[in-house]
Amino acid sequence: MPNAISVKCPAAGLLFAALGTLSQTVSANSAGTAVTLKGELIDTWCYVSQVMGSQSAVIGTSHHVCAVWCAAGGIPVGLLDRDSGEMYIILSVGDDGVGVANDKLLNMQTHEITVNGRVFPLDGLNYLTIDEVVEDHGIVNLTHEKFGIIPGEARP
Amino acid sequence: MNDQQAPIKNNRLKACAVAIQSSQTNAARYGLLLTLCTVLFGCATPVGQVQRWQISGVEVAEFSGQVVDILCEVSGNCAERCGKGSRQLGLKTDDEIVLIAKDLNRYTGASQELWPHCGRQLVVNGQYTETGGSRFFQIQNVREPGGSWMSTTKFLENWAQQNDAPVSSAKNWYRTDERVKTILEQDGLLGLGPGVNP
Repeated sequence: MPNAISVKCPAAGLLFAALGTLSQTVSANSAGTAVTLKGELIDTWCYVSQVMGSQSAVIGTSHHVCAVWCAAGGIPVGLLDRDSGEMYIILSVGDDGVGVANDKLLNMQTHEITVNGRVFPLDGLNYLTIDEVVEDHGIVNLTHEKFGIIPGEARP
Repeated sequence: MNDQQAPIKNNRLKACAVAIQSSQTNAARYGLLLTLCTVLFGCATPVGQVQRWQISGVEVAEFSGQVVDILCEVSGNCAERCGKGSRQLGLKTDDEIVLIAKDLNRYTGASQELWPHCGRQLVVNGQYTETGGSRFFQIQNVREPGGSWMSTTKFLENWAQQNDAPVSSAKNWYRTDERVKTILEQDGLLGLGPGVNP
């Protein structure tokens, strides 16, 4: 017990206190913050870079083909929170530890889903590990009605 | 590339060749090579050089860092050799961990390029992109400290090997990839089903 030791040896007490603080920080970071989120699975590269158009054009049905290409190619898949507009970079689904070309995500790409998971903020990005997909709402964002299909090479 | 684009590209290549050959010095030729061929989109960028794209918050950069598994860094859930291509990876610098979201190829991430260097220092160049506070990096060239630049082509090399195809044909991997084809046949172009088209 650090407190017991600190009575006899203040230096050791300080060391244990410091270690205790460090341990709590690492522990908190390792556990992340438990969340329930509802949002669309998106292609993060096109969404952030806007290389193919505005953010509103590279989500939903208009960008489905490209989103599948990018997910299969290993670009991070994101969850775009419906309410806050916050983007979460998905690192794993369940206990698979797979964040690259994950089959579960590929088969739900562009869908709106509700998930339970954990968020780990790090250096400006929010990383998400999905514990459980609570509900798959399917594709609800019909952006093709306004934008058509983006990019052009995804058109038939 | 469709049939209409092919003659245009050939004309651009000829324009590049004529301009370079007519230059008086090697330096002039090199400068022209970079300028003309980048602008005209007809020639490849030399290995080690960075292509600057028209993307949000673009910032061309070169830096070094330790190749790390992001999931391992944030949660303590670690895997042998950074997951050998199955995990999102980053570069850990003195200041931050930078997510490497993309390589130089079409529609591909960077994990296959990076995982062989797991845990080691790597020098990279490429470009940052940023929107709304979200910022990550596209690597275009990598080198070990003291080594030579290599263009980021591991994804294409691996895909070609796995699909018993020549590397030269892997550039358009997304058109013939079996997994992609299966999903898009099921989903249709809009994701709304195979019978629902724009």
